[in-house]
Amino acid sequence: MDNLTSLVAEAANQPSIPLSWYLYVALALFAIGAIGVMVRRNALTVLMSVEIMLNAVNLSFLAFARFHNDMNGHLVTFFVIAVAAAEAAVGLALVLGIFRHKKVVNVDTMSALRN
Amino acid sequence: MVDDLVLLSPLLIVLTMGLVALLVAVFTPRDTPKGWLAYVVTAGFIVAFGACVWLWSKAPLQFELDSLRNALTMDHFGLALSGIILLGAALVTLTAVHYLPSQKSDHGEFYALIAFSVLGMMALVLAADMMTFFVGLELMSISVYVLAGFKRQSRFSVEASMKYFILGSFASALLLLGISFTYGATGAITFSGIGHALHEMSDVPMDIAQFGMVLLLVAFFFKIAAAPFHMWTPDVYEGAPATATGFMAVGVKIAAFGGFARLVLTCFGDEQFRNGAVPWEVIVAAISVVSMFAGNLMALAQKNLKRMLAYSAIAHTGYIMVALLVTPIAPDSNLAINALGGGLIFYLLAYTLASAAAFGVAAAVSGNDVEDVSDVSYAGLAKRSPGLALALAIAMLSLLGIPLTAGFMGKLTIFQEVLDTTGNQWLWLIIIAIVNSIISAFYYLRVILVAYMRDEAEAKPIQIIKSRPLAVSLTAATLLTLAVGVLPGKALNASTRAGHSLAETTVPGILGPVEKHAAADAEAPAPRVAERPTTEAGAH
Repeated sequence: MDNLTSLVAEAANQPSIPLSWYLYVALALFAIGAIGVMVRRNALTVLMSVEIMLNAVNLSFLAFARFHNDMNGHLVTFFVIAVAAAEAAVGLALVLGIFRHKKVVNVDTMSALRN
Repeated sequence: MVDDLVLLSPLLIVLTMGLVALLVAVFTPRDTPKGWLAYVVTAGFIVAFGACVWLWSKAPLQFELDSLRNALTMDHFGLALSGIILLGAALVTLTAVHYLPSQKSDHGEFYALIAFSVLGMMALVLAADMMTFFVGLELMSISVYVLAGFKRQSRFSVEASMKYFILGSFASALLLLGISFTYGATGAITFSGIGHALHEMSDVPMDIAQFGMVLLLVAFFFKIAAAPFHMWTPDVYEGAPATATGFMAVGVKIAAFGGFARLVLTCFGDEQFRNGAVPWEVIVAAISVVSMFAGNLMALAQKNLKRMLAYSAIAHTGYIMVALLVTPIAPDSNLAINALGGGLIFYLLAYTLASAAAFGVAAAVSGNDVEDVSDVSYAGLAKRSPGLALALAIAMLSLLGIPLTAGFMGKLTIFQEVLDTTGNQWLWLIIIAIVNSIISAFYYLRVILVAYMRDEAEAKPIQIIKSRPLAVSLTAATLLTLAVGVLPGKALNASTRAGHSLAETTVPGILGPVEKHAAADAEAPAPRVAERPTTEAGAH
């Protein structure tokens, strides 16, 4: 137990992880999501990539909120989580609708409309 | 508290209508006709419109919404745009009464989704902080994704919805990242807080703020369908049911323009952002030119009425963006505000009326489960149904900008105000816009030609939907188009007043000295200057 306490105390004295590191991770995640949306052909994978993008934004919001010591960033994150859930519900329903017509969910086959 | 509820009455009425329509849709048998819900929802929109007018007349506006922590600004600018959105939504809802049964999609959820979407649009144009802005935008967008795919049994409709959904949520993610970086740079989440922080420039990392601004602008261009971010527009406009497309044209575009105009001018109105390292003026001007040319040239080749209107919507985006340019650069702030109010808001009103009529006609000729509104479906329309043909013709003339229609006054106001305000700085842009108007004559007049000159025998045996509410909606849209075009005085005064109010709620010093706004309008309230949130104290 003493060991743990001393560890915690030591951690508190260490300089914290700088803001920029969080931002790099967030931007990398965002880029992974964005590339996924553009490259992947399966509609479900595209949906997941959008979720990754939203979560990357959440991370950056939290990092900024901690940096500014401000609660608004945390609040926005809750709204983003709720909106992401609503988006996922609509997205899955649409994937289901596409599947009923085509029996595949590949975004490349969505060419009933010209272009 | 009670006062706040009164102030929020337009939003609350629309919310109630949405919930009522949703409950009715859930608890009544699916095969009963749901057309009567359209009347209920339309009545709600009209009452909410009345509430907006009533709040408008209670000027000067100094509404503090303490119970909402000032998340909304009830100013003339927001109320004017809310009024236009409610008007357009009411006109579109009426066209759905007999159109939806003809497409075998007569479900009550349609009206609930329209009401929720309108609620999101009103929140978007009234938003005073990034959180409300984002939630309003998403409430609007998600409802519209579903509306686009409302005709479930149609491959076209579901595909259109999927395309819209993927690109729309991509744009939302970009918007969020932009909000996040703006928040990170300034530590503020309210528009005025961000504006102050960026105006005062004390220890604000400019590169982060500029990165956030660029992301916000890209999301904006996606939502208003500006080229080169317009790829989804033609497919979605063509595939979605005609009433849903009409709703997208009259609602989404107006709300996105209103919301983003407030955001960009309040947060990034500062000289550093207008003409600095990443000047948004130049970006907006360039996108405006690209949109005008892409929209007009592609529209020339279209045979499908809905697809042609989609490209025409892209072109109109270009014209409207010209009005956004003038505000901050004007040497005299009063002139600038007149330009923004008179140009932007008036043009949006004219565009709403003409689009509502055009898509109403597109819905009317899609009887018998038809999806393809090509030439043959309205050839010789003048003989089969003179009223529809007249409404279509007037809508096209207004979109083209022929004198005596609202569209002409809209274009004239934008061009004139921009020249008055900025001298010859943007003269080249105005010339490009006028050239584009001339190009657009070819495809607008072609529609009229097909409707009036082509032989009726060419037409497919399409049943024209005979619908009294649709006729009422078309009559109202047409008469208003002509009335606003012939006697624009009142509408112009109102939109100028709305422009003033945006200036009063933006950060003083960016749109010119405060005294000028106050002197220009004796009734104007003392400007409400929000304090920068006290977040810096904790920043380390």
